[in-house]
Amino acid sequence: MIKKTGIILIILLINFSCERDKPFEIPEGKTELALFSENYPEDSLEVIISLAQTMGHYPYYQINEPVKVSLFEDNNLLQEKYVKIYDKYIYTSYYGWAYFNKEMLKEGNRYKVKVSNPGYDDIEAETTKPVPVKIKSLSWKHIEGKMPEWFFDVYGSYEVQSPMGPAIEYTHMIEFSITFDDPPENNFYQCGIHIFYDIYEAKIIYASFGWPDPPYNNVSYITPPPGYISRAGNANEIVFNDKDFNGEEKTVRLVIPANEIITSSYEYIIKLYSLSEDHYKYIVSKWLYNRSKDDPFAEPVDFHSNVSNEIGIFSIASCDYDTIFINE
Amino acid sequence: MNNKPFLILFLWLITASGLFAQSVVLKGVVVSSVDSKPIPGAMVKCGTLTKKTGQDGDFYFSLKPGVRKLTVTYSGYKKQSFEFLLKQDTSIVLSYQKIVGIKQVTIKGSLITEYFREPEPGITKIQPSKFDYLPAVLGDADVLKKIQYLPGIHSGNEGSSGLIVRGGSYEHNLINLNSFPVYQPYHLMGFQSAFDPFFVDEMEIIKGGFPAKYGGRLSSVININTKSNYQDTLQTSVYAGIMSVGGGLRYCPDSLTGITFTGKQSLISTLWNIKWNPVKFSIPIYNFNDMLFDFGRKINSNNHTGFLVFLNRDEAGHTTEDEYEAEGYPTITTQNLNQDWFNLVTGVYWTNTGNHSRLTTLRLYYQHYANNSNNQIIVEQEAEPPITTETINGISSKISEIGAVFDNEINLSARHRLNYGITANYRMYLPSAGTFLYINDVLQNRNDTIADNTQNNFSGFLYLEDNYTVNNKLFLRGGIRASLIHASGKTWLIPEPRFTVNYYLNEKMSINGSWAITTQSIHRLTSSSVMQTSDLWVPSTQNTRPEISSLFVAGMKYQYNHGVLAGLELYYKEMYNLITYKDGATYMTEPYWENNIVYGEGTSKGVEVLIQKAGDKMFSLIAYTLSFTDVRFDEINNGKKFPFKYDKRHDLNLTIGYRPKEKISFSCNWVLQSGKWVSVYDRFVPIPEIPLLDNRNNIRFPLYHRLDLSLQLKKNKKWGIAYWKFDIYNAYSRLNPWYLKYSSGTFEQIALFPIIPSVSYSVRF
Repeated sequence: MIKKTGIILIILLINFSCERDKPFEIPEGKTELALFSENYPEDSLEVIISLAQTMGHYPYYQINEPVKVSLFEDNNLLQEKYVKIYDKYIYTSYYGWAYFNKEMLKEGNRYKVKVSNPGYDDIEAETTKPVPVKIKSLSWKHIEGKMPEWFFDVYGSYEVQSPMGPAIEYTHMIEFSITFDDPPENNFYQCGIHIFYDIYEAKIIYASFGWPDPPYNNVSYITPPPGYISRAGNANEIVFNDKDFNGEEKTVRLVIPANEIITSSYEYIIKLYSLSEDHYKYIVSKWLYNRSKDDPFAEPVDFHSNVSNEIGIFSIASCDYDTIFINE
Repeated sequence: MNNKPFLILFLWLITASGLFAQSVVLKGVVVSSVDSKPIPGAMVKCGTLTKKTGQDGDFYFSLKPGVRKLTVTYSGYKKQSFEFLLKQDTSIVLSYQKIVGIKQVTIKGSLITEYFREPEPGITKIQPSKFDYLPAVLGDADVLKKIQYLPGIHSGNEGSSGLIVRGGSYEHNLINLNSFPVYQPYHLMGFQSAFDPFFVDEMEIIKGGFPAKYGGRLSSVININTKSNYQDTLQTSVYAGIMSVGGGLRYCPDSLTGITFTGKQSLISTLWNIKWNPVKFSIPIYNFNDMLFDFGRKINSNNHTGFLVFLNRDEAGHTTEDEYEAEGYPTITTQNLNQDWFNLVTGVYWTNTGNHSRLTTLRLYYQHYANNSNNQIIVEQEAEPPITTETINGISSKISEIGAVFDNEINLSARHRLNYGITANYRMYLPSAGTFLYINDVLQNRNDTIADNTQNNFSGFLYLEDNYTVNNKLFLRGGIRASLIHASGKTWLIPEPRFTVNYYLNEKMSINGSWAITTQSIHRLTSSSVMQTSDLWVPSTQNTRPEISSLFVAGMKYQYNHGVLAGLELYYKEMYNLITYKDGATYMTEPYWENNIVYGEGTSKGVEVLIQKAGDKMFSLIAYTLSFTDVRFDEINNGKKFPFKYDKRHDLNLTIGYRPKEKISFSCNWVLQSGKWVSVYDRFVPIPEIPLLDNRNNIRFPLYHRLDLSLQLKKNKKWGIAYWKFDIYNAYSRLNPWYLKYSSGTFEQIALFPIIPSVSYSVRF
């Protein structure tokens, strides 16, 4: 009996497939309108309309009818536009954009955008354009020394490039000090150094000294600056809240590595953006996703949203800026 | 006419320490079955001891645990005998019929072939060695998997011995080996346990109504007790299966000393290493072994001492290689994924019994546990000059613990028992994570917490409990456990009230209820991603509070005729100070664990149904659980509640064991469970490219079900007994998903075990 049982088991082992994988169908999710409108004062108010759809579904769902985008100020209709989604090419018929004149946007006012389309549920989002916090003073100085070690942990020495080659450590740096008075209540900021320089690969890499470190510890949030993409490449800007200095004067120090090209007689524009809380949270969630997306063990990220169906963002930032010339 | 000579009307079991009591008390009353009046002057014989019943028909023996035969004689009555298994202090009533020519009936069969029993409310006992013919994964019998046949308990993952009990997680279970805590009782990431079932005498499972002596975990207490009798001179067991070989012996050189030694070594990885190149064939490597040494010695009739050493070690690895051309240069990328676990437990104990009314136990122990998980990627490029880039992501947990336990039980009377005691332990934790980057063997980047992250905790527990059998129907247990936890300069004092009641409505039906508060100062972090990942064990700190649970249970049981027992239990549990990873948490950029977590709470509620039929040749068990477990954290999922990862709505187990003859046994087990939850980006917005996650744990795996079959053949040899065991795990090859893989826009579910037939051979002598 033992022999017969053993033979049966061997036959089972040989004949049954050892294939262990098969496709897994994600349940079909609801296809909905999505609204992405992250706005900075340098540009027109841009509203991107897209579709949220099930992962892996291809071709993408389409928007076949024009989309109505309405902009309200304090619940009064300011402007309405009809966005015709390109229907000529089937593979692009799922997004479009509408532009509104930025001049009509006033600080302190509440704005709402509403997106309608016959094929999908309406969506809307509201935000307030913050009153910009003014830069109280701005200064700079040369400093000697090394970049902090964590700076290279984040960027990697082999990634930091200058026209002179890989930058292992810098002995010359420029430190900018930006001082402002933080108003009471919760405030959110974005701060960056922009340079007019016609080298498309030029970058300005920051280290933040004297900052009690954003919650994620020695790392700058990264968001591309508006208006300079074609001129100065991607620049990194710090995004932070005021929980550690609420209602007080604050000085933010930003340090950049110095080299011949960056220091010689160029115009630096320091910008201090005031953001809404929703905008801040959205940037943070986007940053969390970007830094973890290549790690298969990382936790997923739920992008913050202030849109009625919780997909997307509508925000209008304010800005105060100052210009500084540096001469060697 | 009832032909059975004795009917057992009531069976009160008063639990002693169970493990280390050398003698147990057997008390009883002989009554007439006609009018239930006591019979004074009857002679009750047990082995070489004979007692005469008193005026109330009562008698008393102090006996060693084991199979016992009582013989009663009385003038005018035919001599009557019955046999039963004496495990602990027992009180019985023998109903003695004045009938001539009746058949002697032994109760041995039905008592032994029931799968579990509940000698005390909330405490379930299983003897795994008696059910070693049940189906096993890859032929290796597993004691902890046998617990999964009970309702309210399931494994979170395919093939895992890890236990999810009433909405808790793996770390919420306290597993004791001979009363010493064990962190890692498993091998192979939980696929099998590290205990030899032949040498496990009995397991005790408590998942509600916790006695006050137990604490430190939220969900369950599992006591695994190895053989402790001093009667058999030598018992030996050796087995060989597909995955491992092992065995052990229990040696009693005299009636005062007992030594148990068991060990196991994985087999298949050793063969792989010798025969095949694991890298070339991309074969995973598993290597594990364990060892148990237990020594016990009776100093005198009242004192007993001993020590234990338990060692458990695992390592697993998988290497893949890829050759291609990058930037015009030949390039080889090698990825090594390695995990290892290690657990050492060593302890000494001393017990003292005083005149059968007191049991005092003192235990001292030391434990060390470590687990490491590394992902190493090496890219070798034959450029000019050659470049080798090596990235290592690692995560590891180390815990060292020393502890002292003092327990005292006082039997104030046959119905009244008082328990009190004190426990203290000191734990040193080293949870760490790191990312290292080397270029041409020179360290370029390092982001880790390995060097400076030792965290220590002190915990002390004081308890007092009263157990009172009010009358034949009502049992009450009430107690308080005070937990003092000190960590990172912060101290918590948490009272843990415990209360249990059991009431017999009649001789067949009972109802019970309990409430218990429990705390836990040791936590385990695990990813919610679709991939398998390593665990990180972390302590309570100034910011991370001890977890607390409040559990209400209410139930009823009904004993039908012919050995059928049906039970129904409802439970409701609240959990506080739970921890989990925050959105985007990754150790690649934030190595310190406490910066990666958020705090929250959870609730679990459910209904458990259990039907057991015990018989001489066959037993069957149906266990069904309907449960709902949700968790909520302010900082994730927009503060909304979401299902717990292992929230399995339905869990059904059908188990049948059949032994038509002594030499042949069949068994089958069918499992049906709802799938577990995972977090998957299930939608996306193509412009901008943003993935969407509606809520954490948004996708449920498909229904899980499988059928396991087993056949065991027993052969008596001159030198002992040999067993052939044939198992078919997952007999209809259901591809239950183990994890999800995403690539090129599609998801694939990867199953762990298709149909797996296996054979094992074991001998006992």
